[in-house]
Amino acid sequence: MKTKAGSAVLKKAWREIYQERTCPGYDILFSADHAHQVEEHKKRCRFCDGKTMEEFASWKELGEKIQTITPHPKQPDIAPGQIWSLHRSLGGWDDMHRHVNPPMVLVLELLNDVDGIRVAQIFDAPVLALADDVDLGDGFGHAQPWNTYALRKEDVEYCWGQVSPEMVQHIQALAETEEENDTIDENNTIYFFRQFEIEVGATMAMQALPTLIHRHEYPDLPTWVEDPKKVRGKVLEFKPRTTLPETDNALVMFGAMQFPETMIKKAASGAAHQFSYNVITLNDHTIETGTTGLARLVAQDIEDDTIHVEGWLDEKNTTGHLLAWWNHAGVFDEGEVSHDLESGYFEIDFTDRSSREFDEGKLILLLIRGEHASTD
Amino acid sequence: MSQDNEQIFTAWLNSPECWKLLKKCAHKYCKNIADNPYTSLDPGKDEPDDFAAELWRLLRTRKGELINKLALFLVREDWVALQRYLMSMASSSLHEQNRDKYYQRVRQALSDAGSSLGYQSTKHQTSYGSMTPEAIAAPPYVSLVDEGWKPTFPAIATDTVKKATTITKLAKIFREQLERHLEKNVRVQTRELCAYIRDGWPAGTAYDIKETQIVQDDNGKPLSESDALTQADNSHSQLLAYSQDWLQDFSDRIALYLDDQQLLILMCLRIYCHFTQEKVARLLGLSGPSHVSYKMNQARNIINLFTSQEDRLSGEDLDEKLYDIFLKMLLDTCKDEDCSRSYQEKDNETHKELS
Repeated sequence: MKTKAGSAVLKKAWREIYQERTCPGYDILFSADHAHQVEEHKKRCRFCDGKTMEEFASWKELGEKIQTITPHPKQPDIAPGQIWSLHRSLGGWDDMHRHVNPPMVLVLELLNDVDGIRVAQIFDAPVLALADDVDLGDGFGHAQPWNTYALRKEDVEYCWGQVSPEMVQHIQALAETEEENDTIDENNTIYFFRQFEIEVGATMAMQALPTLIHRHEYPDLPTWVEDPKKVRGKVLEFKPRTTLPETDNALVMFGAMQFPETMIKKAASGAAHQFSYNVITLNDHTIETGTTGLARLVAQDIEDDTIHVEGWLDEKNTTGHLLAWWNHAGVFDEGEVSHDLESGYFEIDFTDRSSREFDEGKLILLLIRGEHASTD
Repeated sequence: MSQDNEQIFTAWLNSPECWKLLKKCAHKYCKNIADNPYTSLDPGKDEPDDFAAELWRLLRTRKGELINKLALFLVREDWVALQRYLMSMASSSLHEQNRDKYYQRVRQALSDAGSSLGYQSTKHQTSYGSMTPEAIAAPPYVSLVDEGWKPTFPAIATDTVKKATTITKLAKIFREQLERHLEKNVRVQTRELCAYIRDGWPAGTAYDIKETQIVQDDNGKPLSESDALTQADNSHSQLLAYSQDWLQDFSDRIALYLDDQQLLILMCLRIYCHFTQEKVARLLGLSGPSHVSYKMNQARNIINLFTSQEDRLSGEDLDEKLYDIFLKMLLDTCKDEDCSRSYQEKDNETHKELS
């Protein structure tokens, strides 16, 4: 695949895209909160080095004039073919002191089972486009069928336009033929541009991935479970004297929280293998029920760096998602659980654990279920 | 956007205040470039007033397209991105104009004549002529002449070919000749009209600019463009004198990226000190030679990421001498005391390892 543009033109376009993707915007560049990161960025970026707020005073004035004739962006229901900008929260500083700015994307399809979307990244530099990029027209730039990924629906911010269903189909068809990128010479400017674009796409996708997996694995749990702050609030609303662990993982929070003493089922005296765990039922808006159950452990040992646990849940609490963590020094490592919904029998493996972690650590079990499967 | 706002904006565009503001924007930008010569390997040659005029032209003629492009920056009040985008457009546009002023003049004359000539402008080309659906695109002027077509050229003084009236007159004459020859209604691309005019008159002289310079070799034969460029690059010392400071700044910045990930000392130990991968692994606490090799690849990727954006440091126009100097500068930033090998040796090793 070849481009008609000369080397200098290609490199200029590539430089500009790189700045667009990695240089902080006005509010970040001159924000006291980001001062340290900006300083480090400026040491490395010759484009931003030397930029002062004073330089932009007149540009701000010009921008405000143009703003008067700029239409307000829309936020319609998401549909395939729409062109969206992504929330700025998906961007941020990376380990190279670059401020990754989320790109525009074209929605290719809705992933309704996980409240997600599949998108193609968009770039606006015609000279960097090859035959397998698709010109979206109307100044929207080109879609990258070789750079598609899944996002959460809530990752998009503003809708800027719409392309035809035929164009979406064409892009999807191209996306399914993956060989084209391999034909670009590794010394070609476009090769580096594309590698970088894929990196940007991966940065966006990686942030959505845990939630999408969570939604796929626990479709019956409400979406507010994905927000640890909401979970903390709802737990305290449900039982104010509950003790909550310090964690950003909402499911760990449910598993490791301690209800007030009066609610906790105690093991019968002499029943050394009985183990107390939390049983939570959620609905769309709140915690429906929260109690503790008593599991019977029949094995808990370590062999070949794997902690193995076996046992039965109590008869009343066999259905739901069973999750398990090994808590060592406040670090919660999730185990691989196999769980028989009828009998309540379960087996759990925590791999790559040391004897010390086994001796000093503690098992956490959680049985969680949702009453409904819809968004909050 | 309301009709009122649109009218107010248009009125503002035509006001002295607008011109003053655009000049201020352009001057601030150019001052920053002058204060920071490392922003580009090629120093900007355009005057701030040229930029201001170009910004004004862009806002006046491509307002709709610009609004689409800039909307996100405007919503986010990202004035840095606004500047970057507008100045990039203005700079490309000025570059285009400087490349062929006469073409720009012809396009402007056709544009001003508008519908009377059937002028149309799309993203990639401008044309004029018949607006009927059956009209065909006129074949390239050169190919028609090659096929034996002999156009006629009316008696017009050379110094008048830049006048709008003359250009529109020639546009009509050219189109009529084409339609007679092809026996069809035609649409003519602006560049083909230019080719016709240039064939009849030395249009460039009207702008006091040289027509395409033909560079000749020692035997008087014309050189290809790439040969001519190579010849120009032979004055290497001149090139290096110009870019040395820029290169130093560029390599210093990349060195920081490498240093962040402990890759500079790794490269230094491998290339300057000629340590084996095993020894480097031991010194830096890496798991083994394959880890060193992996890290060297990481270093290469970082260097390539940045050199791929620069003229003469990568790709088709790679200047190997310049690249070697850059690498030497880059590795020199590592101040490890053990790196005491001679530069000549360092050069050789650097080349072998990284090229």
